[in-house]
Amino acid sequence: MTKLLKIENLHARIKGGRDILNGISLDIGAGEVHAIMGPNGAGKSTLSCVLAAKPGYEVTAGRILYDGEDIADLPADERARRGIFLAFQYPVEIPGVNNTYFLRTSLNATRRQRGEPELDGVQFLKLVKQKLSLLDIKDDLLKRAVNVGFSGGEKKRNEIFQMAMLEPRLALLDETDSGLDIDALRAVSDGVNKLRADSRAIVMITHYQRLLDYIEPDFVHVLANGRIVASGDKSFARELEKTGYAHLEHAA
Amino acid sequence: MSTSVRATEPAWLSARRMAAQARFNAQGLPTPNDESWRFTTLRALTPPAALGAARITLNAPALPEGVRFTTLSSLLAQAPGHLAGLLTLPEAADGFAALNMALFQDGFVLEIPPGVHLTEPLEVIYDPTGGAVHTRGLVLLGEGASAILVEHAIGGGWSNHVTHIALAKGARLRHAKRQAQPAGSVHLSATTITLGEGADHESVILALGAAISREAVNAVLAGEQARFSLRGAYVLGASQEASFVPDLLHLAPNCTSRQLVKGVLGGQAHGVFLGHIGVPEGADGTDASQTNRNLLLTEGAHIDTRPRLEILADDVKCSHGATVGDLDDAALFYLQSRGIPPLAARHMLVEAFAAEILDEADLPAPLRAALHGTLSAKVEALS
Repeated sequence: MTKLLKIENLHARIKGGRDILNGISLDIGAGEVHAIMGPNGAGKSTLSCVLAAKPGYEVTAGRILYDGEDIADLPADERARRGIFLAFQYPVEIPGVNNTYFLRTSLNATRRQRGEPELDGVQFLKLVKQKLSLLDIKDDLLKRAVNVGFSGGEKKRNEIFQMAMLEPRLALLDETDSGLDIDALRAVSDGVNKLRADSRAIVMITHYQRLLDYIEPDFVHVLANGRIVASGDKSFARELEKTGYAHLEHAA
Repeated sequence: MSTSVRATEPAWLSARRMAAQARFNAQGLPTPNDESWRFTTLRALTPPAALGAARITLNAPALPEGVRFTTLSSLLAQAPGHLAGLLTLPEAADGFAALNMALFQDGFVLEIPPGVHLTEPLEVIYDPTGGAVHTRGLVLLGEGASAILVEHAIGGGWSNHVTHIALAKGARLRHAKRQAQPAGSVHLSATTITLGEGADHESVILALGAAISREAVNAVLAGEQARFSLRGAYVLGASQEASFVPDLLHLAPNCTSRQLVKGVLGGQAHGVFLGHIGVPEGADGTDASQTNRNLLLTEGAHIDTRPRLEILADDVKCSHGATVGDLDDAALFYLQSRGIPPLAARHMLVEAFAAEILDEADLPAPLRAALHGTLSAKVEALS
């Protein structure tokens, strides 16, 4: 069966700089939850930026196959409409753009791509209510401008809410646990767990073991110096907690 | 539809017109040496020799007794002496104002007696055509009166509007203006506003159309506790030019003023912001702010911005600032990462930037929505 995401010998860099990713290979299947861990500067965020096609990054070698197709030439918005979702480490504040309006535009763009009819205002609000109750989020976030004046926890929750609305096939969670207190971490993790599905792959990129106590991965990978230096199942994460990354970095 | 006022005009007015014409002949049009005109493309502003038709339409709900909302031509016909004290040319008037006094063809008058509150908008539609058109507006609110006035400038050609607004003690005016004249036209506007004690004025001005437009707003906060607000936006493409020239005088102590003017410039467009706030000696407790923010969408667009404060009082709170920038790349990527195509994402951000002046404007919701619609359409047309 074709893997949902197949990364082959990926080299990438910030335009004009030196390579940050030095040959990553990774297979991620639908229904799986992967954790990519590693020290600061290992290339974790670069990997998520490259997968989401953030401008300013370039692939210098290797391929990214999504559903069997090389997506090198697809811009960010096209990848998003095809089901790749990036939950930002630092969600961006957009003054003057109402959260509801933004989300409806986003959802309808995605639905058009899938060949589904656009949702009108009433249908959209019905779906919003359903997803809000699933994630136990209050609806006042929706009346405000996108992320403006949100606390750190609210921003991360809003990311997961967007994920629930857009129903991606591949969700990349970039340091979703950073800056969260224990209650917010629990709420966000509960949300992610509810969004686990056989048709969906979730990739958590994180510095800390802590997140994995709340969202249990099927596979754990260590990224160091731009390469995957070790992989294992969920017990591997606990092992890492004791041994740290340092000995693996040397192995790379 | 109005007719020219000339046929029926009283002798005092003819005399003032002649004096104004003499003054214009001596003074001429402004030159680049005049501070408030230095960045405006003056050579394109020479009025055509022939006069055009003003074509002013007024729309209003049923009005209570004592409220006067009429064209200038019909008022001059009905009550020729009524405006003698008001249709004057101020000492400091420039050449365009002198020309307006000498030649104005029509205009409107809104007079509201003390204590009368009008909650539905009163509309003035300017649809000038032909050659040079000069119009004159007079808005007089009695003590504690309130109203909402909306001006739409939609016609073509060359037009020069002079408006005077006087708010008595405690009066409150909400004023919106939508300038959406066709490409190639010229729109000059000079509005003077005097605010009595506790009077409260807000102008929301959208400069979207015309080849060249200029909005001069001259406000004098003459009574204590008066409050003035200007929320303006110019959204320009091609080789359009718009100037905003607000000049505030905080004459009385303890007055408040807020100004937010935002510009979006595409193509080869040119924006001008020349702001001035004067706080003379004794105007303690003044609280004034003036901000001009600009978004430049192309290499060819440019902006001249100069907010200026002149403070001679001791105990004041004043701030001013100007910014010029491009769209936020992080915000663009965020929208695109949610499936929104690049062009739509740009529209969303540009519209949000300009619409800030409407979002917090104190206007009835349907009026705000209508202005928002015009603004969105213009943003869409820029790319």
